[in-house]
Amino acid sequence: MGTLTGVGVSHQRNVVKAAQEAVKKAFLAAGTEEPDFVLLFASLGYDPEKLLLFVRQATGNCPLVGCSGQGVIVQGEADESSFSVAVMVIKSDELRFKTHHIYHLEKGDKRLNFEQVGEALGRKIQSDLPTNPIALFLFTDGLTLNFDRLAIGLQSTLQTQNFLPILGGAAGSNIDMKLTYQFCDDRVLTDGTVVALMSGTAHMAWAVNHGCVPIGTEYKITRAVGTVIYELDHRPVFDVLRQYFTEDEIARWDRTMVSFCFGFKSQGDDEFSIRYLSRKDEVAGSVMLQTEVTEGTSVWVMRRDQELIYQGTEKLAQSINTQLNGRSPIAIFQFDCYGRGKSVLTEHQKSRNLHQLQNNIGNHLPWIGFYSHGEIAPIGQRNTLHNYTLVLVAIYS
Amino acid sequence: MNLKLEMLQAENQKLHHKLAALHHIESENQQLISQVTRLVKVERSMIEFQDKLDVQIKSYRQLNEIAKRLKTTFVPSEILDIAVEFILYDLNFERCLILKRDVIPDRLDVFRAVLWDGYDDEEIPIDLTLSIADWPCLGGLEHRNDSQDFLISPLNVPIDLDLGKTLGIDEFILCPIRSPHTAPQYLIAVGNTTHQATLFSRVMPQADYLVVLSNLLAQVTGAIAQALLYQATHDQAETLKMMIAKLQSTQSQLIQTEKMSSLGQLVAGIAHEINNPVNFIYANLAYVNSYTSDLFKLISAYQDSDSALTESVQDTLDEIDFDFLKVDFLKVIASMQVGATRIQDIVLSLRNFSRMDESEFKQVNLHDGIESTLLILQHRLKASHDHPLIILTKRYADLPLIDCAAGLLNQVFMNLLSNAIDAMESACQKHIIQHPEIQICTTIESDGVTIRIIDNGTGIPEQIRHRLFDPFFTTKPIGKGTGLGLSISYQIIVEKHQGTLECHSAIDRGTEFRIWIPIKSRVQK
Repeated sequence: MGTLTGVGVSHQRNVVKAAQEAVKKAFLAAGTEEPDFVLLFASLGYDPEKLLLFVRQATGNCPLVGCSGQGVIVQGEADESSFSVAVMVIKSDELRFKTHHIYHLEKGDKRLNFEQVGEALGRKIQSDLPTNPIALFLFTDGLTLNFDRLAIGLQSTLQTQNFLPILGGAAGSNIDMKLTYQFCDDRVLTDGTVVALMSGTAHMAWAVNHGCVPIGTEYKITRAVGTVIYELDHRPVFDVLRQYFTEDEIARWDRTMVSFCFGFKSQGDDEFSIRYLSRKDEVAGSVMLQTEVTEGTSVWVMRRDQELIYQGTEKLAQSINTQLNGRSPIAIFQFDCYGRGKSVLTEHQKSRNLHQLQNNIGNHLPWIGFYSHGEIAPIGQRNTLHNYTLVLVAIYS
Repeated sequence: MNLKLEMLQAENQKLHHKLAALHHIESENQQLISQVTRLVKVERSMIEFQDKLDVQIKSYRQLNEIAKRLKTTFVPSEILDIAVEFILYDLNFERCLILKRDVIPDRLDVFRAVLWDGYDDEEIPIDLTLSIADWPCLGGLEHRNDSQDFLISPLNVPIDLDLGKTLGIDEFILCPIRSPHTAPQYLIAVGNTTHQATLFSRVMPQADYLVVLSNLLAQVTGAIAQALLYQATHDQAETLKMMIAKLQSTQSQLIQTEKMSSLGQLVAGIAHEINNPVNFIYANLAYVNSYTSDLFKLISAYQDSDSALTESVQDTLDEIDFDFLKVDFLKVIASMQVGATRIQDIVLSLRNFSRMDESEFKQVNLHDGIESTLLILQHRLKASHDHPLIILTKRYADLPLIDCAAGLLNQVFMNLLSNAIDAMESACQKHIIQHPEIQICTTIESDGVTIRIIDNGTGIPEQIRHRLFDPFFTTKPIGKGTGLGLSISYQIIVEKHQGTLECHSAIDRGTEFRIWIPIKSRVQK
């Protein structure tokens, strides 16, 4: 049999109709109504509990993971409206998926540190670890995420023979950045992490690209705690930022950060890891990232470049095609930063990039993805959270 | 010492130079950073401007598409459907409600919900009415004529809170659809509920979409005006068409009724004229019989008397074959009585049939009407060079008296039976059938009676069956049929008697006309 894969999308506003339509289209495309695995991404207009309920009613009780997104991506379409749902169904005798979930809060709403979250999740996966794991797909709440800690915790309890790549993204939030949703089987989590461990005989190719370019000189982080940076080159971080931005631009932080970000580069790395400056605290004189920073790390102020993004997308497609070496993928997963969506690139440019990407890799392939608040993919042998980045994954036999 | 000092001074100078160079580089770097950040901001502004332009172009394209769609329909409800779809899915609002002005004399301010979308099932505004006069915030909306007469109410505007609740839309735009210098025909309310608003276009006084909305409403206004004009013209044309048809039909019916009335009067006159002499003959036949009997008795008495008959008398008796005459004369009289009875029956039937011009409802025996009609058509049932004898099979139920216009019903029987005979003549001429037959069946069905007239003729093709009852529709050769018989029959049964007249037919197997009329008339007297 090999693998049957199909993707369906719906923009109906009625949650029942949307769930049913997306699943129906996915079944039709896959040529089966008995999937082994379901991926579900949906924008924030739907009641997530109802959406999952009706998707599960239609797809049955096979493993399911997914999350909310700022939009969904399928073949020929990247929709950032409030009402879009995408479903991928997979039936395969060469791939297996095992799902797990974990909440970031324990009883009494006490927040676990992310190393504890990672450790607990690692233990769950380890307890039922197949012999031939390929990758771990991870979808998480990105609003309070410290991915580095989560990855450290995970790797401390999850022992695999070979490096296990983690790919996925941080779920999209509603407009006031208060809630995100993660889906795991019959559960909807709002402050948690869900994973699907993919194992089997199939293979995977992936590539990462951002399209940002440094402006100005290198700085050293000279004072930082956890995910918070206080000083660069022994100067308050805002003193440095004022070289780049006016007071008005600092006041309008979210709008300004659409075009600028931080780039980190460890020794020996060719590529920058891009970090979104998610929050600022002018009283404390600090900015916050989604990953930990250590003092002494080099950092650059980066600007986002439309043309570089376009060229980067082309490079990414080339990289995937090189890895595929002529083999046709079973499925494509696209985890794309919502900062690369219409709000930054404009609808026209965004569509141009997507069409170029899909035309280069295959405009008939089962393709699903979402606009995320942080993208996860390894750089070298290190699982990393990125921002303003496109992660593309191709599964092939 | 001096040398050392000089060297130090030279070092110091070098350092100063280096420091100056470093400051220069730093300053250049700073300038570069500033230039780059400025360029990035300019680029961002251009992107945002471009995006705005793209959105505007998209909006105009959408409006163009809408204009094309609006041109495809002249139905106001379809026009409003298109507008609602555009408002919800292209302008991206959660809810849209359309209210139509109620037709109340001297009131232009009362509107009733006629169309909505985006509402939850439990919130559907099915009974919503809105009087503009009750809402000061609407400020005489019904009298204003400026194009931008929108009421824009973002969330939590205290004066509009209750109106928002009434509409089921917490932040809303309310705008009228009206032709120039007229009161609004419709109100459109567009917007979002508080808990869903962040997912949709927000209601704001200076929003870009207001221009698009304004354009849309202008298009919808034009389309509705055209639709109403079209509707009025169409209605007038339809009324005219119907009036002409009715006039033609009435005229034809008048002619037909007049014909039937004249025929009825003629038949009644003949019946009356015949009736008197027949009664005279019939009544006198008894005397003739009695007198003849007496005369025969007298002659017999002569014959039996002792006195011999004179030779001449005897010769006369022989000559007239008196013995035969005696027997045969009684037979002649009996035959005359049968003939006179038959004439009386015919006269009765003629008088019955002559009630054709009677259109008032009376309680009558339907079978009498059928029989009278058959009598009139008797000559057509007999074998002729066109067809062999038409077999008549009657299956009559025991019917009660029926409340009906007897004369009109007789006209129906006449039409249906004549058509059946025509069909069978045609079938015989074409050698389709050898044994023509008409069946007449009557039954009681629920509170009415059914009369079925069935022939085994050629049948009626399906493609013309739906036109059978149309005035002037006929398949008969020119000059043979007016095309009014079935049309008039339909009117008599359906309109006059509140009954039904159906035709069931199968090609080469025959046709059945099925009449149903109520036993008790439903027609208001």
